[in-house]
Amino acid sequence: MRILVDVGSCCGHARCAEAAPDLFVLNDIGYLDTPEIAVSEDQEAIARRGAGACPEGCITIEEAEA
Amino acid sequence: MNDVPRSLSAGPRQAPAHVPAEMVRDYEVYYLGGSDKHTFSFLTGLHKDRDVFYNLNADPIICPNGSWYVTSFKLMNEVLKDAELFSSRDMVQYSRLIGESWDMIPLELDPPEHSRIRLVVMPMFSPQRMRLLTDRIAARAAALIDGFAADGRCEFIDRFANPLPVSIFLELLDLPFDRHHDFLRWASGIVHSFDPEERRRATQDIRSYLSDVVAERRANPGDDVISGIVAGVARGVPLTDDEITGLCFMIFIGGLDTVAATLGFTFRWLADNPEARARLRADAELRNTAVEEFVRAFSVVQAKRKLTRDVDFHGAPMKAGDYVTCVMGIADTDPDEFGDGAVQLDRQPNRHVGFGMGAHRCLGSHLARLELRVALEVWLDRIPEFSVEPGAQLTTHGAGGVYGYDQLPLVWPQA
Repeated sequence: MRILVDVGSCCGHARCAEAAPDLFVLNDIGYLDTPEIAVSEDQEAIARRGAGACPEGCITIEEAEA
Repeated sequence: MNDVPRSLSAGPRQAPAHVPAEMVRDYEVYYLGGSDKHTFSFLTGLHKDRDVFYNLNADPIICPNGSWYVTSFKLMNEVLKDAELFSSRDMVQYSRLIGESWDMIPLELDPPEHSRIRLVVMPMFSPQRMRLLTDRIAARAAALIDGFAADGRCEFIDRFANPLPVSIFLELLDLPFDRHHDFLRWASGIVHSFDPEERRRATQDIRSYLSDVVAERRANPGDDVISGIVAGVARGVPLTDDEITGLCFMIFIGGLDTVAATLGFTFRWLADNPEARARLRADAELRNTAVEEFVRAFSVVQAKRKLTRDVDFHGAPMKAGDYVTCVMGIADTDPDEFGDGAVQLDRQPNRHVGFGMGAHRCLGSHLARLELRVALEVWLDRIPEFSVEPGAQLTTHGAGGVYGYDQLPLVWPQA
């Protein structure tokens, strides 16, 4: 699994980092600027929660190939 | 139509000719009523009607002939995220009241100019920077509570909801707390009033005061927010005097009363919900989701946008120059997104618009969240049981665009 971030649409709500601080690391103005984030198996649930928390809908989850 | 008096004293008003008669309403959205209205249930009647309507009873200073209102969560998101069609220009126009022409910044700017200047202040209010204030906020909350806990009662707004965020905020700006009643009165004249003269006077008072502070910080810069703005450089260009004025004015107004208002509604709700108090006292994780939920359930602010061109917006024939008013509390009680709207402390996901949406998302939101969370934690630890004073007549304000309680007398068992 990996996380895809539409960084141009991030508005700095920081709700993703609240839900999953280890996965979503904010820059010094509190925004996401990493377009792709790798997710290990034990982080998948928290990754989904962080992505679902984004009010702007700019975080999507790409499931690993079966 | 609600059965409450109009908060506004303007005479009869008429919608512009391009607005279809069947879309025109005269709906009171600035008056919440009294003590029984501790949720925003008065707004939920709007969802039954239609997604967009034209309200004659709009902000009388900016939209004397009414404004479009969107009632659905989905449409409000569309409005707030489309700065090209829905501009933030001329949203409040405070400077015109005193014969000047600076914008409230970043509030009244559109991208890309908006982002250019907002970048100057964003690092000062980032989640990381705000987190460093946690202990200081907790200590302040504890000190305030220690000042009245033994009394078994307090007027919550004046003794806690106002001084907690205001004292922290004034420290960030390095302004004297002993003048906070003046500052609150000035801010109130703007964001709690549609009286043009009251608003003009308050604008002048704040403008004059901040001019002196800016001059003083220019001469003796410190590490406070105002000094940071005075020395601000936006993409290589030093901020102009008007930009400094607009930024300082905006931050001054924005930091003074919205957290207090949210604390008022939140603690009124907690006073009636002992089980929720016990859960929140025991569960730190729950306090995080609860803060988002309180900001959703008691969304105290609203915003306006101005149409940049003619458009048919979901059946509403909007014209360039029309205003759209976004009352966040309407979107945040939309049943399609939030069900029956009742407070759910562990609500997830919770994509509320209480802090706005899109590029203008509340700059102070990370500070506000932190203050709300720490206030819950410290208060519930010290005063776990409390209720609204029996017989208290609670009154609210909403004119000017920010909802809140005027007073909230709370009582608790004395130790």
